[in-house]
Amino acid sequence: MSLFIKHYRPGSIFKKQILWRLNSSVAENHESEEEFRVLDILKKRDKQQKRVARRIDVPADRAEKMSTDQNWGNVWPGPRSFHPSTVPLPIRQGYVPKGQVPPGKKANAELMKIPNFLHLTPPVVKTQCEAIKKFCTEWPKLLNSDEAIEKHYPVEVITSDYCHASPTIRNPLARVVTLRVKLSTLNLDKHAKDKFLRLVGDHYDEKTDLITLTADRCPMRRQNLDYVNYLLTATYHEAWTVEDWEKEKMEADMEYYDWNNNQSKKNLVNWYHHCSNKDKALSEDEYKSFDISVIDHGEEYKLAVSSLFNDGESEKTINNYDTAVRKLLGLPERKAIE
Amino acid sequence: MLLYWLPNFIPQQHYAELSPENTESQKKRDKPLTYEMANPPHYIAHRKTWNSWNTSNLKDGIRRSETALEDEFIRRFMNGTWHGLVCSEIIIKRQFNHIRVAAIIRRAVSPTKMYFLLGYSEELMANWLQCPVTLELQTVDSFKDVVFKYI
Amino acid sequence: MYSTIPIQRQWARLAHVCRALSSLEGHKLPVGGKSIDGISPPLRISRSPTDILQALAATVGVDPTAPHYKYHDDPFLIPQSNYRKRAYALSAEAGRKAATWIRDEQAHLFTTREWDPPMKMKTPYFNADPHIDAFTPRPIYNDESKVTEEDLLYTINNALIEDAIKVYQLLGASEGVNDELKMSLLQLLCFYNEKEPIGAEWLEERWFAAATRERQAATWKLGGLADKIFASMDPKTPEAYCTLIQGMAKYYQAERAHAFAQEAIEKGVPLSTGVYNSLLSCVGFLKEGTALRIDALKGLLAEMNEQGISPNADTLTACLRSISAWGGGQILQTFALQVLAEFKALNIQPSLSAYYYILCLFCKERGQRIDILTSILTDLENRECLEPSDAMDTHFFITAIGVCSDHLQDINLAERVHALLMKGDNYKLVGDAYKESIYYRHLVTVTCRHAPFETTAQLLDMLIPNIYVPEPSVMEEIIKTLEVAGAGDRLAEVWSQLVVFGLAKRIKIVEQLLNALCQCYSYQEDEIKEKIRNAAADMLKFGQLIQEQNENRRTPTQQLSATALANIIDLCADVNDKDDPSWEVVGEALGRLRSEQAVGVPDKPEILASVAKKAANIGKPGIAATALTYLAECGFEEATKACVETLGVMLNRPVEEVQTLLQEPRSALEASLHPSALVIAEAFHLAKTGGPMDSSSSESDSDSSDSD
Repeated sequence: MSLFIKHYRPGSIFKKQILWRLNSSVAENHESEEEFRVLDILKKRDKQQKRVARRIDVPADRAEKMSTDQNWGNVWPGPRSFHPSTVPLPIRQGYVPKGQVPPGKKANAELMKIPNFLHLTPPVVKTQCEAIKKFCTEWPKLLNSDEAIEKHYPVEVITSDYCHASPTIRNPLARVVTLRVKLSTLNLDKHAKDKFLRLVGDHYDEKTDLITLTADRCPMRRQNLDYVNYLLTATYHEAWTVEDWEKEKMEADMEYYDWNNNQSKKNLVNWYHHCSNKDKALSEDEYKSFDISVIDHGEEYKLAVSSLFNDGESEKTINNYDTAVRKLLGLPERKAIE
Repeated sequence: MLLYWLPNFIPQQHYAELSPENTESQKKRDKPLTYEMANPPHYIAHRKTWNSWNTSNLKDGIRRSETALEDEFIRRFMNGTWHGLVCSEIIIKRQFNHIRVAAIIRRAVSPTKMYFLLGYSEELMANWLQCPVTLELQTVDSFKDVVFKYI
Repeated sequence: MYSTIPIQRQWARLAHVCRALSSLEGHKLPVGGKSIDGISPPLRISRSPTDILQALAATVGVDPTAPHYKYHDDPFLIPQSNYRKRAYALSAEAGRKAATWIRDEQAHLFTTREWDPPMKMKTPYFNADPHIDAFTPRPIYNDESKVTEEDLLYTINNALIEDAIKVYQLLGASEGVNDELKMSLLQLLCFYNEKEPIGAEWLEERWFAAATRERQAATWKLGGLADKIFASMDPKTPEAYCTLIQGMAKYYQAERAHAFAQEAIEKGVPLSTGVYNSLLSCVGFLKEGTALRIDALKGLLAEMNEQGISPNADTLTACLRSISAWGGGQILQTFALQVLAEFKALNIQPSLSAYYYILCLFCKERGQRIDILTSILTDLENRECLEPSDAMDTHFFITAIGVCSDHLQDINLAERVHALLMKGDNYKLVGDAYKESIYYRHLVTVTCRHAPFETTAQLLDMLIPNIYVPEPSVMEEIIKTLEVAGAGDRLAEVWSQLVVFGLAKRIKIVEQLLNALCQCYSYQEDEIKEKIRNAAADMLKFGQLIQEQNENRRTPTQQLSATALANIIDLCADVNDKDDPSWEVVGEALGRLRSEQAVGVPDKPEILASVAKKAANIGKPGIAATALTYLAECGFEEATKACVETLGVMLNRPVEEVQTLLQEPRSALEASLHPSALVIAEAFHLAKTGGPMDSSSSESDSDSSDSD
């Protein structure tokens, strides 16, 4: 507190002195008039004399001069905050209690806040489209459906451009590149397909048959685009190469249950031979190439077992298996349990 | 003295006497409010809208802090440069790298001076923020024109 | 906010998926708007980065209610007169200048960002990405600056002459700078004659720059830095010679330029077409007399031929420029046409400035009427677009419209000129504010004089006030046209326009307007009549207001003449209601007439007489009395008759009775008559005898009776 006083006392005294001096000089001017001098401490009179309100003539709004058949696009050519003198509409905005009138368009900050679309009226949009039509090229005729597009352009590259309000046009998210291609459009044989799927892993979606490769590791879009292209190229060619060790693939390494290679077929064949009293020892290859169609309901059984292993255990697959086995063994059909 | 701090012990009618300014000002209704002041912040998006429009405020918007700071700079700059003339809040709209600053201005200085200020503010802010800046002003006769109600 | 656009479906074929993708960027596509095989995408229609914006901008037309876009669209800030247009635009530019000054002075604040707490960290201030050069501070050079050749290059490239000279000297003048830079500096100095031009970013300053006609005198700085640099260059390259000669010729140092050229030729230095062009444009300074000058010009052209230098469009412009500067006359005109034909044979198109010189040569103010403009316009209209190539190109349109207006007085040609100016991007050729205003002055004048009224009205509505504010002389022309067309409502509006444009103090126009209003008042509709009356009343009030203001300033004010006041009275008295405020105006105007605040006397006193009668009829005897007294005082013959008639109306008696009544002595009348009637009787005597009524002291004041 003492510091405060120290600093401010001299100032206030100084002010008083100035005030006094000013007043005395004013008083001198009035000496000719035969009146007592008045000490006008607050100088009220001078202040009042100074303030002469200058009336400024403001011309009428230009909205009033506008003709009714004017082209609105000429009046409001670009995005701009609302201005009451330019918009010839009786607009009001603002929340008021019931029974009162909302504030009018003049001096209404709310109207200025809202981004308006006065520059994009339907006729303006139409003329603008006409104006830039000359830069557009025709859509290729044969690409008239989604299927056609898919057929001719199987690879889809997805990138995003970002429009945002800032002094910089860069957005880190713009670097992300996604490449999509349908597996069925790739030229792969059984082995290559199997290898390809193993290589892409969960980038493959079985439902849509799409392989989706996304890259965001590089700072630039171009680099990421190059990278996804490289990924696709590399996996594709890698899928076609057959390494020596791939011959060592065991039944346990199979990605799916192949009934032909499995014990189930051997059992069925053995059982069939046994039933027809033609027991004989078959080699591994003979088992594999055995034509199942000779066995009644054999085909059905094969499908049922395959689906039980490949699609997993569910009520449907189990029931399916049940029916197939009953048919195969000639058992009566299962009665529905009440 | 103690009683001032313990209003609960004072009968109701006495309490009213103890805080005379409060009731009196409510009676006088001489405090002007603009529409913006009349609606507290929780009415934003219901009765009034934002004063800053930009994409940084949206989800995952970039340059959040910079934008907020720049907007504050613009507000202070405008209020200081157009001293005693600004009757409303400064409304800042950003589109791409274009900043549009809207405000309601009192017609207290000559148009020539206003044009000087216009050119000055636009150029200086443009150089400072490194974006083109456009001022979109609306002029009114006096503060009274923007008053929504009195309390 | 985020528009996620699947950019493109890649057009890679199945067989070469990978390879096609990697080579996409280098893919060269054939040209054409259609796909070749119906599958591959059609070729891109090539366009510049701004083509789409320009196409969109072309859809926006003119809004006659809006001010130019450099002004703020707010009623308070829209300029309404020429003075304000200039003041507002230049104020805004002054503000911008102040801001750039601050930026350059405090450059460190605009290039680095200081973080909180202060002194802790400083990073470069790069807000915009990509970087915008226009927002970076300009360097300031003074004696302490440490400069390199890069600074010199920067200043030269940005045409900062003073800075360039400073940097050049800081670098140690001719010793410290390499020849290449010296050459560029020499070119810069020669082009601008060592004078700093107005910066390209100050559009308004250039637009409103005082229209000083360039003096055709030797302004070249003899012994200036350019000469010194040239002297210091060794060996002197042909480029240096060309630069110096062109600089000298441009600033009319003709003799030295020609001497240098001669020297260069003797030394075997090859000269360029540009040099000869500049020599041709100042060849007239060497010789006196038309014949000698023509010979000199021909000689130069022959010399060009000898040197094997081919002429271009600028050569033609330079020739015509010289010829038009030598005056007029048959000989020069024929010579100019010869030159034009010669160049046409060489397949060189005359530029706009060439045509400007032709117009100057052929369409002299007091000369014979020669319609050369029609053929010029036909040529220009057939061109795809008019590209400016010379600073004088901007003079073409004002000269052409001037020729239409003053020389040929042909509205059709004027309309063709205007259509040409409005075509495409040609409006940039209008020049600057001064030229634009002259252009419209001529256009409006010729339209007012020769076009049908509807066209004129349309043009005026389009132009005034946002594009063009008429000058006093044009305003008179407009009033004349409106008067002839009898457009009463427009005439009534003209008054408010006069006030807004700041022309209301010009008494001559106001009087003309009043006259026009009176002329076409009688056949207007009632509504318009009322407007006219209001305008007239306002004129009177405005005159008083101005007078009150000027009393403080003690400057002489022009006052409305008596005729004008009589016109106001005539207009305002056309009301049949006794309580109409117009009568007050009439009384006011009469008061001013009587107190001799007006110049001269009304040239149609019968107006006042009829007003007096009407006033008496309607029950305003005071006004009738004042009018008649004024008439009598001025000594108009009509006064006596009017007095009798008015009295007759007032007293509701036939004329004969009134005349007998008037013979009675004053004392008898005093008793029997209403004070106003008495005043009229006095006026009657004053008019008849030239003196006051017999046996009276004529004390009664007409003003006092006004209150009745």
